This record gives sequence, C-alpha cells and structure tokens, in this order.
Amino acid sequence: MKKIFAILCTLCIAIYATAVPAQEEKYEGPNSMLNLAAKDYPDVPPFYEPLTIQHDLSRLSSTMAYAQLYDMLCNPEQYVGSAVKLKGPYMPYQSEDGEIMHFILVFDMQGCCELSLEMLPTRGANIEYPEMNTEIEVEGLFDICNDNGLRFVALRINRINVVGQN
Amino acid sequence: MHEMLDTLAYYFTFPFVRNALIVGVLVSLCAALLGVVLVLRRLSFIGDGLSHVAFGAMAVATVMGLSNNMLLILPVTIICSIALMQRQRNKQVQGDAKIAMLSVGSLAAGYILFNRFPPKGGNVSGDVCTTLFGSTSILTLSQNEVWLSLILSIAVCLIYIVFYNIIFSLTFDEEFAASQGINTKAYNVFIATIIATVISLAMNLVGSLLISALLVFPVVSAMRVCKSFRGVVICSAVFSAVCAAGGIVISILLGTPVGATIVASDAIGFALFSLIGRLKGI
Repeated sequence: MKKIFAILCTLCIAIYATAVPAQEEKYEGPNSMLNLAAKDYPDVPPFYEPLTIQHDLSRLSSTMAYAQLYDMLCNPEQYVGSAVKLKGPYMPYQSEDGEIMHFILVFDMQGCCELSLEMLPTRGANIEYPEMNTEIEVEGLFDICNDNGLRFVALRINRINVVGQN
Repeated sequence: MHEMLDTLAYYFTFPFVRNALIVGVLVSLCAALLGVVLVLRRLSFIGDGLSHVAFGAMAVATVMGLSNNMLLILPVTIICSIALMQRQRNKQVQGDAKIAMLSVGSLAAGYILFNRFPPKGGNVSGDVCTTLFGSTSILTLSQNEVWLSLILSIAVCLIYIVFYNIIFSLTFDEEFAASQGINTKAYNVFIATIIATVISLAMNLVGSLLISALLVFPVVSAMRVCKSFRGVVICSAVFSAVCAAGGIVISILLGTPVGATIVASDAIGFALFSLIGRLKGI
C-alpha cells in the first residue's frame, strides 16, 4: 500500500511538472475575422439577407445541437464566415466593467449542461433585446474576435426574432 | 421512416458523428472482449470500481489543470487495477470489500474536489453529470482523443487475438496455467493494465456509472446462446458493437443521453438473447 501511494505521488508530481500548460499568451489576430480592416471588434458591416444557412442548429435534436455548438466553440477556425442559425433562450450577462453582453443558450438533452454563443450586432444594427430567457431565433455569421488580446467567438447578427415567451 | 433516414444521412455528414460511431464501436468491442474475462472470473464489479477511480483521477487532473486528463487517469487506473486484481488470501480486507472501498472513496473524493476547486468558467454539476453518465462526451471528443482512442482500441484487440490461448487458460484454471510454465503473475498484471485502459476509454462512451453495462451485458447475453468460449467471445463482441452503434444513432435522432441509450440497447438485446436461448433450450 505504501509503495503504491509513493508511486502515485511521484507520478502526480512528474505529470504536474510536464503536462500543465503555460499561461495563455495574448491573441495577436485581427479584431474581427469577418472584417480584417476593423479598428475595433464591433466594426463589422451588416450582411445581405436572406442568408444561405450552412449550419442550422434549430432543426437538430438537442444532442446534436449541443455537440455541433461544442465543435464550433472548440474548432472556430473551421466555421469562420459560415452562416449559422440558432434557436434557444436569450441570456444577458453584465461584465465586471458594466458592459452588457448578449448570449443565446443551447442546452443538452438533460438540461444540466449548457453552451452559450455571444451575439454581436453588425454596424448600425438597432437590436431590441427581449427579456431574459425569452425563446429567440437568430441567423448570422460566425466570427472570431479580438478584444485587447482576448480571443473570443461570436455570432454577428442583424436582428433577433422572438419565437416564444420566457 | 423516409424522413428519419434523410435526417440520419444528414447527421452522418457531421465529422464528430462519424468519429463518435467509430470510437464507440471500437471501445465497446474491446470492453466486451475483456468483459468475458471479468465475468468468468467473477470480477464483474471491478469495472465499476475502476471507473470510479478514473473519475477521481479525472477530478485531480482537472484541479491540476493538465492539458490532457488521460495523462493522469490512465496510470492511476492501471495501478489500482493491478492492486485490485492481485489475489490476496488471508488478508483483513478481502477483494470485494477492497473494490467497494476504493470505488465509493474515489467517487466521493472526486466530487468534493470538483466542488472545492471548480474549473474556470465551468458548470460543476453539468461536468460531473456528463462524466458520470456520458450524455454527450462521445460526441465532443477532440481530434487527439479520437486518435488516442483508436490506437488504444486497436492495440487491445490485437493483444487479445495474439494472447487468446493464454487468456483462455488464465480465465478457467490459473493453477493449471502456472503448472504449464505460464508466468501467471506477469500475465495477470498485463490483463489488469488492459482492463484499466479500456475502462478509461469507455468513460467517454457511457460515463463512469454505466461502464459495468459495457463489460457485463454483452457477455451474459452471448452466454444465453453460445456454448463455447470462442463463441461467447465473438458473439459478445458483435453484440456490443451493434448495441453501441444502435444506441448512438437512436440518441442523436431522438435527443436522448448517449450513455444511457447505449445501456438501454444492451438491456433490450439481453432480453432478446434470453428469449432466443430459452427457445433454443440452452
């Protein structure tokens, strides 16, 4: 027993020393992958409608929608510029500096796990955000953004369609 | 029906669905092969115990912030598997009690660690739920995890084929195998290592709590219709692969948790095979 405990401790120390990733470096990419000349990440022009949807998560089962969004969040480079359609509850979030961010949620079939995708309005879009947990449907273009060295993904939208009550 | 087939064809265009099917079939196949050894040696519960140890190791790996959790899960599970498979006569704590203690202790420790040191920006109850029940884990594998699972699964299958006769001897009569000059201690350690590897992989498929189903159901179902060891091995491997594939397909079509759907498919398959066995008079 003591031998096994000693081996385990040595193993943990060895793995910790070699397998813990270094601190995340500052992201050096463009402010927006959809507008490489953008001076700031909100600076993306509106897109023409109707969009030809390439990834329609609203018609997938909850298992598939969750897995698809997970893939998009883990491998965003493969989806940049794709037209995406999503349906789910609307969730606002206030950051520490008071800025309100807008998210659409996708739940797995059990409802205990959720993924969120931030929605960013295109330049000049005058979006009226509904109440929290209102069921919405959005169509937009998938983007990778840079906010002062912080990399994040977002869906660029012209509008929000409310499809249900909260 | 036509609409369902169209939906299924559409779902197969997603790479993560194809990856899930390939990995799921291979892992369940390996689990069935090793399940034959465990069930016949009356060690069915060891799968449950080791999966809970793997959960505890995963919690430690998450707290440590490892780039790949398998770096800790695999060695810890292998060490515990070797310790549990050792036959210890006249000891104060016997085999089944040892398994029970390690199992619940690891589960409790893992859950406490998750709660005290939650991952940044994570959802603790969601992460724990997914790990325990495997609701979408198999559909959210990274490319590295897919390759690791493929390589390990193929290696386990090849090892089983190459060492089939020795595994057969060790399963039925270890003393006789030792008298024939087989190094039973070394081979038991080897088998324990493979079992731990398969259980670590199977966590992604059905979650920690349901792994026993992958080890037990295919074997007992095959034993309802087959009489020989070879027949049981082949039948349980095919049974497990078919139920895993069927379970994944049903879950993505109907939006049900993947792990539980696979286990439900296994249970239905067992009922069917039991009926066939009765009709055949076995």
